[in-house]
Amino acid sequence: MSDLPPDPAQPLVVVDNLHVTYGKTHAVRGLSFSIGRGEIFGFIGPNGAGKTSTIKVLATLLKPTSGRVSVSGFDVAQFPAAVRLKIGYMPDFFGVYDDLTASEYLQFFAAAYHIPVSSRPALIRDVLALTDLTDKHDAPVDGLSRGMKQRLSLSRVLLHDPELLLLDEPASGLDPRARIEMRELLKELQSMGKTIIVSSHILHELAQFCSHIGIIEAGQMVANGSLNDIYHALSLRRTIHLQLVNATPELLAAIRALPDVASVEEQPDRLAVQLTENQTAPEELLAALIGLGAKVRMFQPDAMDMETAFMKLTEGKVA
Amino acid sequence: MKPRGWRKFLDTLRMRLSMPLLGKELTETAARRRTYILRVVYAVLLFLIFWFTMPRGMFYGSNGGANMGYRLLGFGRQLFEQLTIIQVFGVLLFQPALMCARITQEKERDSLVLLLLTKLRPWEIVLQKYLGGLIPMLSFLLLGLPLAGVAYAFGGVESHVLVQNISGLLLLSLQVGAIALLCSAWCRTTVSALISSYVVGLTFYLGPPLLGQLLWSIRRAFNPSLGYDHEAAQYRFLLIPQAAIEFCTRSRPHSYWVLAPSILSIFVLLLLTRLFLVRRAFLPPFDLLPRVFRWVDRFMKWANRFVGGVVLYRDGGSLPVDEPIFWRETQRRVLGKPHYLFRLLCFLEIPTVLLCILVVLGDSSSSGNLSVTAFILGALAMFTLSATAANSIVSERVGQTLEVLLTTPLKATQIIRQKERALRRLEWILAVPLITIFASRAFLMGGEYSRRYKDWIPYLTFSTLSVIIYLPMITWLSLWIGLRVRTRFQAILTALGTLSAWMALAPVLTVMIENNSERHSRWGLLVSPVGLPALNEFDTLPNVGDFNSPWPAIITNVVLYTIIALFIRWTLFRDAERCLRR
Repeated sequence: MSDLPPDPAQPLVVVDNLHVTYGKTHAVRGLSFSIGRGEIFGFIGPNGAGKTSTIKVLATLLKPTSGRVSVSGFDVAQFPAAVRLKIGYMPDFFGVYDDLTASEYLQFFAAAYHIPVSSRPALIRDVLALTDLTDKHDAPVDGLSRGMKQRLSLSRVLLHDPELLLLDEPASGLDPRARIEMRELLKELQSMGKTIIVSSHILHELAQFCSHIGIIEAGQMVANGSLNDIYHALSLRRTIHLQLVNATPELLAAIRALPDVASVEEQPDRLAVQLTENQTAPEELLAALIGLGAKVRMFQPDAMDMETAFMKLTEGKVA
Repeated sequence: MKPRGWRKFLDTLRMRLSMPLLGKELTETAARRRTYILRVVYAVLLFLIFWFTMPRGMFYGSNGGANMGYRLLGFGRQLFEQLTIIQVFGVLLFQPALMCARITQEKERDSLVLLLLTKLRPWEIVLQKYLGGLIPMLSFLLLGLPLAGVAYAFGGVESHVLVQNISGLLLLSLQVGAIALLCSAWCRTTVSALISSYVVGLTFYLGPPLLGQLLWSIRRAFNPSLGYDHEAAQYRFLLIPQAAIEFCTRSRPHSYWVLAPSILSIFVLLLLTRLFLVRRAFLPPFDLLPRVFRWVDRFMKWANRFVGGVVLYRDGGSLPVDEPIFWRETQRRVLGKPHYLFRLLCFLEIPTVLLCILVVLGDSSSSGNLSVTAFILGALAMFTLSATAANSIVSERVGQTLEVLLTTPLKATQIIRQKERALRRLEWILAVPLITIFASRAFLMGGEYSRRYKDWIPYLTFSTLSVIIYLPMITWLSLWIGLRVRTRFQAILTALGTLSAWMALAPVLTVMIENNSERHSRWGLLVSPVGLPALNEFDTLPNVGDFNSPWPAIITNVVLYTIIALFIRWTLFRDAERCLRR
């Protein structure tokens, strides 16, 4: 089975009717979804929704109570050893040994992944460079900042070049700079062809780089698909922020009269233009504005309003 | 005071007496399953030990029948005092465990700062925590009430005996509780508070008598005619409530002032707890053992200048090849690093060798000192190995590294095997001083002073085999316990409790068997790992069974405990996958 080359047409992750129970608690109830290769799948849900349980099943840390879960064609319950070589798991905590240095920590996991001794130094140099930790090579893990520890965890995940990265709340507790650095890193990993499952509470950040979103509540998937699919399904409006040099009442009235413009809200330093359900693309709106004679100083399409989608889809129930 | 002032005063009083923290403590205690498990364990132990230690002479007699009832009358006092002694040991063992987590748990959960920010004063926090730890212990002590009733029914328990024993127990409970609460306020973690509670308690109770004995020995060295003052010696024990009560009722009737040290000590301990509650509320992470070893490192480095900078072992530089866990356990953990282990060996072995030389070259009749040293070293080995092994796996859980490890290709059994292999070095280090003592004692037995010149062979064989079997057995059992629990405190307490109870079966059984003249009954000592080895130390091993030779007992004990040890190991690896992936 493992000798066969992976079929690129087949989804990398298939979750079919997954159920997970802890004693009397039914954490995941019949979850089904699939993720294609190279996708970034954002897993969103309130606390206790079943995100971490699902990720733990994929990481072979938890056996599914029922249902089928496979990674790269390998069933996680039947072939956990094969699955472990395909995945890199980063929990919502650091999982680092404070008594080691950064390079010793990576050496430790390189040995755990049976990576040949001769190739370890170059590999460690590469992953440290990728996560921008080269100058922390010999720094004790204990002395690293929270963001650096998280990046070190990501370096560890990349050591054995897994196809699938399972990142449980990677930005949790990070300051804005570290969050942005983490986001950029994930984008870079996506460009390297990695498939990523990432759970997060920072919704607008997920919207910026996830190709697919799954919204889960009380152990059940309430929405699954691309961002546009979800917005369409929910009839959500896109907001575009504008700064016009010549924002006269006549021009504003003309903008309001444009097709697909639902409303124009005047804010102290900008205008917030909301597009209707069958929206025009932002670039078409820009062309229309220029056609109306508007002098545009700022044109900023808002990331789709994930928070509205989340609130609309979920009711705050837990499993 | 005006009516409004009164109302305010009463409101404040009512608020203070509502004791919200105590309510929370008791609710939490009541909600924990382990409260009830512990209570059942305490009750079972209390009833079993009471039954086993009952004087057998009560029930044996020539006439029996009607005379029996008369003969039993008056035994009540003896039974009651026996019950009190058992309860004293119960308080000494259980009260620190029940109390030591009271403040450290708040520190570990970062909730102490929230408590200090409320209107609760530090004194109120201390007292409510104190009561929260005392009430469960009192519920344990009440379990002895039915047995006290039985003792009372036999007659001989006068009211003043009842009052003395109960007040002694209560005072002891208050004192031990105050010691444990002080350690809880001082330490940062529950584990260190637990260990400190027992160490401080031992020092508190045994320190003054030992210091007094030492001072007397020094004075006697300068003045050989100095006699032993028995009455003065009693003053050294006045911190122990039972000893103080004994003193003021028997030695010096109505001298109640002797109770002052033990009562005052409770107030002093609580005062110190209040002081440290705030001062040590925000402690940075602190590990004593690594700090001690680092200090020794610096000292050795300094001392090494005088011998030309000899380097026997160079730390660091090595990297894991194919066994990362074994590498980390032996290169980065304090009790795994080769040079630290060598220092530990020197620390244990040099005094042991000196003692052995003194005994071998001196009076051979003092060989009993070797047995006492073997007992102390054995207990130390059990404590060190058990705590290290139990912590070995739990530390991965607590440090949140276990999940990450389990997503690597390493199997759970491989993780355990590498941890177990790393602990073997510590086993060897702890075995060396024990074997040195056994070898010295064997040398004495084989010497010209002894008439039993052939006895040294079975003695040494059995002692050495016991060390070889028991140390790995302790490691495997503690690792298995570490697999099944989630916190360091639980792991260390359960491992030490289980092993101590198993070992303590030996003295209980010895007392029981003492009343039974049949030699076959000594086979019962096999229930405890130290049962027959203790007989070996007391040279009474041939008295087991009808053989008049020690070898059947040796072979039975060795085979039995080899099987038990291997079974524990098998269970450890069988459960590894299931327990680690919970």
